[in-house]
Amino acid sequence: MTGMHGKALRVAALAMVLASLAACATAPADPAARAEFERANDPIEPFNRRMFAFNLWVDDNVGKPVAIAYRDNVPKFVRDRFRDFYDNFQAPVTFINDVLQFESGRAAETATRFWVNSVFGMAGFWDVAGQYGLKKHKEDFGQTLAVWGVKEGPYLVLPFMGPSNVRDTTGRVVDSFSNPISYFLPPVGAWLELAGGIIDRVDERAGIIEQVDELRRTSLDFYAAVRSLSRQNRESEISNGKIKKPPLPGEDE
Amino acid sequence: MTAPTRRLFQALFIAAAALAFAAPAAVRADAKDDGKALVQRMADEVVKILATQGIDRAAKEARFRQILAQNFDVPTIGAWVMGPPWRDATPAQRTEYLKLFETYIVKVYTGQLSTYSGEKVTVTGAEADGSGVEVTSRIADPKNDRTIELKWRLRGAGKQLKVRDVVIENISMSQTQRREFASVFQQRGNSVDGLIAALREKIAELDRK
Repeated sequence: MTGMHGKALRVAALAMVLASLAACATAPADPAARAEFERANDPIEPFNRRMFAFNLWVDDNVGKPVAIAYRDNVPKFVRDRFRDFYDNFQAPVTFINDVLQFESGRAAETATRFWVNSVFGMAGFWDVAGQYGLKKHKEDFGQTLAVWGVKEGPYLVLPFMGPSNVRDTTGRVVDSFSNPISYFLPPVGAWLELAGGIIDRVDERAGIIEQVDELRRTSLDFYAAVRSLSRQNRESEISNGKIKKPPLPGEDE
Repeated sequence: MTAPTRRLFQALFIAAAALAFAAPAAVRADAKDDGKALVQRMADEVVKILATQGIDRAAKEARFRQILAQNFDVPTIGAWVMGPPWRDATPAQRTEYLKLFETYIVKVYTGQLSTYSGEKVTVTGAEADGSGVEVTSRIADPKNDRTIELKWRLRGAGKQLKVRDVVIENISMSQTQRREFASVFQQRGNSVDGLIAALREKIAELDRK
């Protein structure tokens, strides 16, 4: 079954990553440099930079061209239907994690959205609930682990999947097995998960084409910029947007 | 009143006055309105520049540089973005770095803003933020059916409020730049001159294309 193949591949890729973690950078002795080293949270930076370069190569040759073709050739109406369908398909994963995070209000929201969209939104192709003010949100097992107090662990750039860390990588593995639809509708569910996952990635990439180009063009160190951006973004996702204020120039260290 | 008593009162008065001035200035009641007005004015100016037809890049950058100098606390941001090395930098290095930093920021924002096509910035509110103000605003992104939330963190610089950080969807621009500069500093042999050289090279590269 293709879905299981996909999973086996993903697990194998992870094993590869974890095996090469031995390629560690050594922490510098100088105190200021050491403090910097710790703030970056990237002890395997040499490995991560190579993986980042690999991902960029894949993006230049496949990811971005496909995303541009998708944006330019698939009508927005159709793209929106795919997006709504896949978000609804993944809603059970969000629901499970809402519950595991003891967010009863948000869990109820996700459950309501799921049945409303599945019934009145033609199996989820229309986000009807969203139009009535019940906005979607996403949760994953990495976020749940964070809510439970698990620290992020070192920064990790995964092949094909990009910026992550040890905690969120673990979360990804769990998430790939946790969608109940894949179990209740075995062959169809697994196919939908795979195809939907690919379209989701393409659609997401298509939404940030100019922004990524611009960041890459203007940044002094694209790798370091992405590392910081993805970490801040993850903190925001974990706290559901209620982050504490970031340090401010002139006031904080 | 005897002379010593008078002197005592004088001393007390001076001490009290000194304390009053040393105490952190409370956020003025109208600071929130000032902050909102500043952000709205700035956004309007930027939209006007973006909407101007046939304006070349140099002219665009000159206008952005003006807006930046008027509304952003560039020296404070620049020093903080450099991080710990700032303490050991010589006055000449600091001057050179800040000059390049401003130019770099102008080029970065000119580029980033040109990816937006005149969407309106709506100021949605302001709240006290430490000794300053945080102004919240929204930009509609019609291409993706979403709105982007921008927060502007302002502090008093002299008589006027100035921007210290822009936080886009909970991502701090100052923080991101600081992490990036730290990485470059490290790669360039932990040297301020190395960081300055990297900035100069990047500016030249951005000028070329």
